[in-house]
Amino acid sequence: MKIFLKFVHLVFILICLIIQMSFIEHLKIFYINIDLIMVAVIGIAAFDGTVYGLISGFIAGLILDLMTARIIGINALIYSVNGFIAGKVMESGFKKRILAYVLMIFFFSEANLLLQTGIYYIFNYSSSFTKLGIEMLLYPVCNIAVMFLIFPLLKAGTERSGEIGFIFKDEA
Amino acid sequence: MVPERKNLKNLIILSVLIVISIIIITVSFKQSDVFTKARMATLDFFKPVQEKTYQFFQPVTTFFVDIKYYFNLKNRINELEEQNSSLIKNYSENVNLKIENDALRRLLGVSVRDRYNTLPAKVIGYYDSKWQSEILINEGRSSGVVEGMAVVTDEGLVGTVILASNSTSEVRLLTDPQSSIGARLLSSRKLGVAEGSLDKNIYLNYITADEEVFKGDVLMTSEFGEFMPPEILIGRIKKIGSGTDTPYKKIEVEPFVDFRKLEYVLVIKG
Repeated sequence: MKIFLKFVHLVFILICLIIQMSFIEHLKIFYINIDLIMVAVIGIAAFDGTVYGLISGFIAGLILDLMTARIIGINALIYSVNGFIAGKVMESGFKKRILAYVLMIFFFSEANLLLQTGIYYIFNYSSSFTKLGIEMLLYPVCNIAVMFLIFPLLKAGTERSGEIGFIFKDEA
Repeated sequence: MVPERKNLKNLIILSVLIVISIIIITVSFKQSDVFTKARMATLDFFKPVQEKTYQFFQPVTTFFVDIKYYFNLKNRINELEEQNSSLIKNYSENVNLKIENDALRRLLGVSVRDRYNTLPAKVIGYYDSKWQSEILINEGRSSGVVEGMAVVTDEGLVGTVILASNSTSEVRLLTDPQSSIGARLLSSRKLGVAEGSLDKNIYLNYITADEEVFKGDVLMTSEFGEFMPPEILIGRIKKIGSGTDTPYKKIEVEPFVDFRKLEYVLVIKG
């Protein structure tokens, strides 16, 4: 059952990838910048464990790179590191889980933006600082909002069967 | 001991994946053929599901895009009314000129302008980040699409094909920072290069500061591109500024095509 769920989560991340390319990109006209894949990778790392977060992040990142990116491997690197750190953070045991999730999404959103900008800068793609500033304000907020949609879907079935709501009881 | 071993295992996996990623980044930056083939295979593999999903979300996407345009509707109507009256004025004159032009070309033995051989394609993906603006279309090598071909709509130039797999193709939009197309101003016939930018605007570059350019002038493709046919509409001059540290003017171009609303496009095959 557990293996089946992990497989389902991998399929879920691929669905997120397709939705990202088919729909989410269009929302950028309202400065809504969402990274569905990052949120899903963090969710998988939090609910399934570090290794699954790490591997699913790498696979999803590599597919996204192959489908869209100018430099292949950047997203694979970023998402696998995201999955690893998110898994480690959750393993360390947080009393207020929902706060941990929100902080993680916030931190990873900012870190990913800076890392991506940095890598592209190394490869000679410059960026506007004003735009980066606006993105750094809005990007985490949008991702946190999406987290409240994605995490309950990933959580359903992992710990208590039949639970679909976003229940974050203090388990410690 | 067991958690320690698990930690070590996790760290090893992470290190391996980081090394693989760095190798991939380095090799891909050198434009390796292996990755081009891998990209083509990935695009082909995801095409059916990508196409269906894009189609499924199309009404919602259109709705969101329309909301943005709704707030600017009054200005847009005024602008279009002005344009329409000017076009009506010019229409009959242009028809007469075309007939006259074709007749003179025949008399001089110059061939009459050919119609292009085009292939209709459906947009099945859209990707827009700071560093790139691309769409995915549902036609590829199997239909005769190759890299470099121009992609247009009835409104004008959309971009160029940068990667053609068997059944899909990636199209670089005019707004992409790496997009660079030879262009000519309709009125003065001056040549320049229409380039995308990080701020998602299109600029006409290499027009010297002493050359006269006026707002509203139409920009079209030049005849010097290998695959790019001449006289395809690109956009209208929106803003003219003088470059601070260059001898060239900074000319912003408003494209005729609305890249957010693309549903169907035509690939010019020849």
